Amino acid sequence: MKPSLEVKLGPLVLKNPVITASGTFGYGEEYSKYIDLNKLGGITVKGLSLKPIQGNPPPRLCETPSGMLNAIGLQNVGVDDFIEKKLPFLAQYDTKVIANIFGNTIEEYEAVAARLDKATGVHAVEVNISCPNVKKGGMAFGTDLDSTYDVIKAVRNATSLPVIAKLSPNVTDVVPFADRAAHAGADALSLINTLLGMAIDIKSRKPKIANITGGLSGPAIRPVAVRIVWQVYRAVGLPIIGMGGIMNASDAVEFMLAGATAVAVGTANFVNPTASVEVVDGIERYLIENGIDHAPHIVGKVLA
Amino acid sequence: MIAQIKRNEELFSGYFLVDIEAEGVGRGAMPGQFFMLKVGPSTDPLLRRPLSLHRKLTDNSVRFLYRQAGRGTSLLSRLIAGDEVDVLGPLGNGFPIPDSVSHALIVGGGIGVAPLMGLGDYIADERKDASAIAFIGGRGREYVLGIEQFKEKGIETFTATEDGSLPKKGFITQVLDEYILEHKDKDTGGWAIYSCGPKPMLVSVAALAKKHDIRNYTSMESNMACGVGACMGCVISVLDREHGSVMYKKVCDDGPVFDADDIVWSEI
Repeated sequence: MKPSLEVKLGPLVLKNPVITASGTFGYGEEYSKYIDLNKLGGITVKGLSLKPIQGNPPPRLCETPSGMLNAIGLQNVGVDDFIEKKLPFLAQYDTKVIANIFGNTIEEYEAVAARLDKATGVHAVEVNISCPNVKKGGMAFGTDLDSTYDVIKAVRNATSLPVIAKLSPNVTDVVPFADRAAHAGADALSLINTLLGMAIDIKSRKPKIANITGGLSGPAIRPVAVRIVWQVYRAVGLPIIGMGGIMNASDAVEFMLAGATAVAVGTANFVNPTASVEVVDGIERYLIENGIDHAPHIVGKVLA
Repeated sequence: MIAQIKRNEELFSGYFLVDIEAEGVGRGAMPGQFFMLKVGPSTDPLLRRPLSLHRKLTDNSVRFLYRQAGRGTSLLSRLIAGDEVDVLGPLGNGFPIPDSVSHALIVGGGIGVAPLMGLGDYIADERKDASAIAFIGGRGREYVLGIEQFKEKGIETFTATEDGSLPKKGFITQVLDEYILEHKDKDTGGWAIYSCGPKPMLVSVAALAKKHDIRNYTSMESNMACGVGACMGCVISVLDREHGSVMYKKVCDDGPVFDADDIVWSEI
């Protein structure tokens, strides 16, 4: 018998644990010619703001050992255009649409969440308080305990959709932040956003990306992400979406054993457009090979 | 898709031609489009490498001209016939070749010839009603690539080298300017300039095109992660004529070919 892949992130039920990470999958349409979006547990779209944002000047990305640095600067079409032009496409598919949101002020987060609350076809809101590449908002909220609480609380009050807090790894200890997000009413946590990094071209002596610093992603950060998932899982009662350098199903299972109920595939989409569905199939194979009936049964089952 | 290397040959120091074969790899591919290649399963280097289509050989076979520049292209350069490479594409918009184009002026500098050869092929083979002429420049004689191949397609080719090892000595843009001036009594309404090469050359070509009121399509490059429009990493500054402002456009799927007049060259 085939195992059940269904997982629950609080009130949000996914048919399988695999989601695409925000910022790595556009608005879904970009990858629809490579994979069947119906096969995904969920799709997290590129971060949305109240107004469209142009993003940072180029060069915006560079490759690093087993990873990449990016400072896109949250370029996006804005929440209204998303609802009008991008959401109807996604709504055709049998998958959960998670809208990633951010703002410069708490009021902006609130306003974006409120607009999405009324939109048909959005199943959850992921609150980005951890982008390292924008001056205001983003990580400024996610590296301060009180701001973390205030933003999540404001979004919680602005929407009846499930609320996921996406936390920053760029703090000494993520656990207190996870705890505050839980107390503010978050239903789940996304761990982790990119790690703040920098790379320099030694010939020109210039930083390799125009923003100087950027967010490091890819397999290079995976052990850091697994460690944070494990620490938060043990300390805080919220379900976790684990992410950070997942390239294949083995990596995804590693996150689930550390305590992630679901996983998000990010940078791997860039390298291999079919990575996300390959992870779904591979998790199923792992469960079969190990005689496990339900995907949630491996969550947190690391022998540590 | 997995493709097989059929040949991978060094033309001269660091410049390679590679032919790959896979069912349908070239089907529908148009000049100016590109492919993303990944050599091996290693995560270092992590990302695919964008290579512009040099020539479509058949529906199942394409050729790339590339310069060994970093770790990705170094790994590629070591592959031999029979080895496999993971290929994604064709991607991007390709060169616009509307019916209104009756005379294509192909202008390439150095490795910039890579996407232009396929354009020459296309015009020679598919657009018998149009003509093409090529202007190829380089630092020295060996950097001036594709002269024989353009000639085989019946495309007249002008050259320029900075060191004078192949005439004319100087920049290819000077040769282009002289050619246009010689023909300025003709109706140039059906002319189009297609350019690819180093930025200073592209800027000069764009200025020449503007001066002579000839449209100019140029192929751009950028650091790229996904190649399919998702990562937003490869943007360049382009004029937004509708709003009279500057906007970012993606080289991968808004391009890689742009109207040179729309590009904000000072920000490239």
